[in-house]
Amino acid sequence: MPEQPIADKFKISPFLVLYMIMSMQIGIGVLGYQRIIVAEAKNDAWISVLVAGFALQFILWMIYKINETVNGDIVTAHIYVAGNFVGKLLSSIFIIYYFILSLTVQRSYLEVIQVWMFPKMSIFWYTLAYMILCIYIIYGGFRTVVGIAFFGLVLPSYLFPIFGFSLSLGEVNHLLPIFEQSIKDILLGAYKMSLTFIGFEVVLFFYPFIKEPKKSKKWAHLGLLLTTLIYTCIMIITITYFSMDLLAKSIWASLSMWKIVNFPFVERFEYIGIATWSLVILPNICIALWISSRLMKRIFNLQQKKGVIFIAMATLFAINFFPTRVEVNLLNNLTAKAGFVFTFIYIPLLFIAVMIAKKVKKT
Amino acid sequence: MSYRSLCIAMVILFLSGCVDKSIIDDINIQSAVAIDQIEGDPEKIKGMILIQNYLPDQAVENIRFTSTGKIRRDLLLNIQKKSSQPIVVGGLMVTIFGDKISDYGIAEYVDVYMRESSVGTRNYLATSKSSAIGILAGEYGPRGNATYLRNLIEHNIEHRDVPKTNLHIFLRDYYSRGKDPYLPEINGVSKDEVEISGISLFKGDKEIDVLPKNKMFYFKLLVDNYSNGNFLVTLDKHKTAMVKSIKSKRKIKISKDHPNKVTFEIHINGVVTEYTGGKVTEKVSKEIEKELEKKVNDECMKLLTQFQEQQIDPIGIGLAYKANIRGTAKKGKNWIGEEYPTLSFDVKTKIDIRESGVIE
Amino acid sequence: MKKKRNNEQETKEAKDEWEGEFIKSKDYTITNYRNQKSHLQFHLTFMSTLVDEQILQQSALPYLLEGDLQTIEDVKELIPLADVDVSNDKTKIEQNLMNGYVMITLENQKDQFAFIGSQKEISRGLTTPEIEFSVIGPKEAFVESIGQNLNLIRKRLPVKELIIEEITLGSLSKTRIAMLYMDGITNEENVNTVRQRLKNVEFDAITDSSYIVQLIADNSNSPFPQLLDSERPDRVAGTLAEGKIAIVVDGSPHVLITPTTLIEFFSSFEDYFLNWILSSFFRLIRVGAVLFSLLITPIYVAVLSYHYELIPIDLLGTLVASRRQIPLPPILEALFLELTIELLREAGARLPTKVGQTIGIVGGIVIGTASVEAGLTSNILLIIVALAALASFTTPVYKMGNTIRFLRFPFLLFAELWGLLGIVYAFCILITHLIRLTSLGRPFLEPLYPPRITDLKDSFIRLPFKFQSKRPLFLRTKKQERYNEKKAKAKIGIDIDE
Repeated sequence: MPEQPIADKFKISPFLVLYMIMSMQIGIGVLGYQRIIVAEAKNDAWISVLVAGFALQFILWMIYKINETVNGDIVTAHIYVAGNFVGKLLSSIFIIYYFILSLTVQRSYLEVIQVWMFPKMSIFWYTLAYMILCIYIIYGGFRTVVGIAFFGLVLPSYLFPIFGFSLSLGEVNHLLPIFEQSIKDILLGAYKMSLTFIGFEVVLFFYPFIKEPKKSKKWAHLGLLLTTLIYTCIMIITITYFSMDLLAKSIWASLSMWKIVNFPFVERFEYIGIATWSLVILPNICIALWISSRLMKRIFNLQQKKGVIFIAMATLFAINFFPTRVEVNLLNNLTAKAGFVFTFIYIPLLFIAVMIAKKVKKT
Repeated sequence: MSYRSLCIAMVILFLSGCVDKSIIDDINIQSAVAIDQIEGDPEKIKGMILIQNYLPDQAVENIRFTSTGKIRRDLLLNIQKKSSQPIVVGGLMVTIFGDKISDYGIAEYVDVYMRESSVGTRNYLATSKSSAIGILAGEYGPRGNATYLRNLIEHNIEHRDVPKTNLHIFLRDYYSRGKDPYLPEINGVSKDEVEISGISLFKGDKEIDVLPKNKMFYFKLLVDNYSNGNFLVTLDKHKTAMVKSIKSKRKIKISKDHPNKVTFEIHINGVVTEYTGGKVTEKVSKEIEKELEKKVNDECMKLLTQFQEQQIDPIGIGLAYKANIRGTAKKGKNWIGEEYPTLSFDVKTKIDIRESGVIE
Repeated sequence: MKKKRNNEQETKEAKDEWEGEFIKSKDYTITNYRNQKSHLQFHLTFMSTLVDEQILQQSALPYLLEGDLQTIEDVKELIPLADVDVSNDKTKIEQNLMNGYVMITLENQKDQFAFIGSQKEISRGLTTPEIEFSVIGPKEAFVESIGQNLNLIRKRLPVKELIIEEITLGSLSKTRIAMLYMDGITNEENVNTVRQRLKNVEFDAITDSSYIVQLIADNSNSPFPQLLDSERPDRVAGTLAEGKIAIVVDGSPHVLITPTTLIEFFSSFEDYFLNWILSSFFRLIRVGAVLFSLLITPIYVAVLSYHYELIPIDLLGTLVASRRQIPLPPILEALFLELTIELLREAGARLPTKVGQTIGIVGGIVIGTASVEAGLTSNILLIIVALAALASFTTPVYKMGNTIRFLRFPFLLFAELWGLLGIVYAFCILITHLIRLTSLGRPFLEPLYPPRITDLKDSFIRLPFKFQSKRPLFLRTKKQERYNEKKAKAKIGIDIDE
């Protein structure tokens, strides 16, 4: 089946790719990634963040190379490399991957709500409400999904300077001496960090929707760079704010840091932060759902409207199987591993395959 | 999806999706806690929870619940049985530990605060000179006991001699490998008067000593990077000057060549607020500066050697040491026992007296 | 002179086919005359309620009686009026008669008709704007007559590029609707869309421009108005010059402007009369007021029902003390007060002005004070609700103000459901709705989304006119330049003391 070209009015401006990438990357992970990285790289954890961030630029370059070569999304790339049937079979794995990803984000956020705000929050009802919202968004088309990505990044951006409050209690000595840890530890931290960075690979899926995709390249790299810098800043502030052993005990370090914030009109800021965070994770879930349903359309010719409802119902059903933190952690670990395999093993492999296929087809 | 099914879903959502409410006038917000150990039995504790009841005429009434129990949770459970409305913990301002219990160890009580997400980290912990419950039993000020105690500690931190402290700082120091925690100590002078009577020094979670009031300023100079406070200096029998420090800075310097020598550089900008010797001339203020520098040096040195002997490190020399000397962290945990006693200290103070009031 | 239905038999025969229903109306008039020169008998048929008899008596009848009337074509030459037309199309008869034309038929030419336009123009005089009042600037407002309104606009844009297209809509009301745009500036596609949408309107009686708003809006299920309506000719002329399209509806003192964006609803035309610093400040205040009005009561409900931790300790006492006596949960308390305010507003709007004012004072002071004293609501909430209502009235476009007040209720319900989380959820729905919303197919949220920095120059803030040399991007105008930027700058660029 030849790929239908996307009409111009559904396409997005190149610079919006920056918002897509950043809002997909920044999600539930920011609330507590520090503990995991610090466990490996101690006070040099921020170097790990930088290392991981820059390493990922290379993967992003590969992604663009793949897309440019086949001039299409990942399904086109798969068909290009492995033919129609196998190509579609390979692509259909990602329906499940993005389904699980959205499930993980949704459930992890609910975990935060249950621990910090409402212990009795019903998983089912909240998910239902959220899914209705997501369906409403995706029914608006890709333009609306990007719009949510845009607002999901811009509106909560006021939270970032809030981290500055923690500087008043920061202890620079916690950071020093720089490079005290072995390179192995720093790299191990970078490996753990890469999981928090995952999300930029969505370019693979919405590439055909970008107007003048060549121009979007610099925005994509800039987006990744900005995320790297934001994560590094938060990491540095976190290290100075906590002592190592206390940080090891803080599952949601970012939330704990907001506890110190107060304004004359707000005594405890973390509640506002948590509530706002539902706007931050909204693009995560929406983009994941959009990709899943889009893939269904591309592979099985299923109308996207039906696909979304199908996936939303599946989410609503599946989320009930993760009632406690044990299961949630299990789910998180699974998604993290899948994400790592996809980003760091599968994408380079696909890149090589596409390059070989290109050579073969030329001759 | 049709609008009708959407509407039905929303209606059901409103009917069944609700979460637990805590409407502010239907809950008892616990605002101060005092915990004492029952004489002779280290396992049993007696606690008091203070709730500020805000009356419609803007007056505040202190409501007290007392109970005994084994752990803090136990205590709260027993108290809930006495309260007409659910007691919630999110508005906590001050927690006071009795003298016995701080000698015994307060870790398990503080642990509760770490676990409970609704407890803020800006609330204050304090020890008491005698019974903690005795302090809460008094009546201080028209705005309620908890607010009074909180303001007492807060203003002493901001403008006076109490070093920065709150739950987060205590936890950070307690879980730090290069610093020991400290807390302000409160003493009930009479039924309607309390005072901050010193600084409790901890080794781990146990109080091992209390710094008296007159050493608090020097302690603050050593602990906080920036601080202000008041201190007295006597030039001779009839000339006493009260100097207010406006701004002070502290640096800990450890040279890599001489890792055993720790230098404290303290720089104070101050004003003379009271002077009994008449006119404050240039010469006098130079004299005051000199005298003060000597005094600060001496007092700080005394404190440092005292801490070294007690094998505690409330100032965070360990942190500074680790930050300056590479590889310290990897050598193992027993920095306090092995390396700390071998350090030698030096305090270098510089004082600038800026002005001496509005009169000549 | 009038001899009504004197020759009934004869006329009935001739016009039977179309006359049918007309004959039942009292104002349907047929008169017979005889020309003095040719002695030809002719009939005048008209609706007496629609025709200005003065025109008929002075400018038509004397010439018809005294002139040399031989054929129907002669009518055109004899009568010194501009609007004279000859036709043999019978389908036009009904329409023209109902639009106040006088029909002339000659005895010898029964299948030819001449129409003389002699409409009775009844309109009230020009008044000052009532909804969009401004302290500075012109005080003229549109009235209910389309001719008058078009005159007011044309006067402000006396160029041939201003095109007026007319269409009649409504199977019963036969409302005249004019579409105005600037040729060579306004985007062709937009003009076509409006034309097409107007043509597709199927409705019987269109009595106001608000009907058109609802009939041609992109999404009729949205609480947001997607066409801006204005009663100020200066605003309409200004937006036409920007490259927008105006729709004037006969019988309505409100002219529609399209395409529009959300931000425009919060800008008053007075902003252009003030210095840019002041107007930017006022615009920001207005946007802040909208957010405040929308969110403050829901936040009160959320915080008092769920998040007591958020309340600053010094405020806690005041809040708890004010609620001590109140038996209702915060949500009912808030709903009670919000509904009271809505009632007051409705009552004030329905009653005559003077009574309305009294109701406002009596309601506001007496009900408010009494309900606080009776312990039904807390005085803090009373202040909050009153402030929120006040803030909602700062929105310059009345219809948007209504929307804002309506939106508070879903927000309140979600705040009751999940506290702050519910408010953010409701906010997400609102944002999604706004992203999806379009006005004439152009994004409603522009320049926020899609983000266009250049269009921000006249949105939350209004930059000086020297930065406004380009028309808004989202209008996709044919001519981007409003004026020559270089020339304008050359005049400013004189150095000190030169």
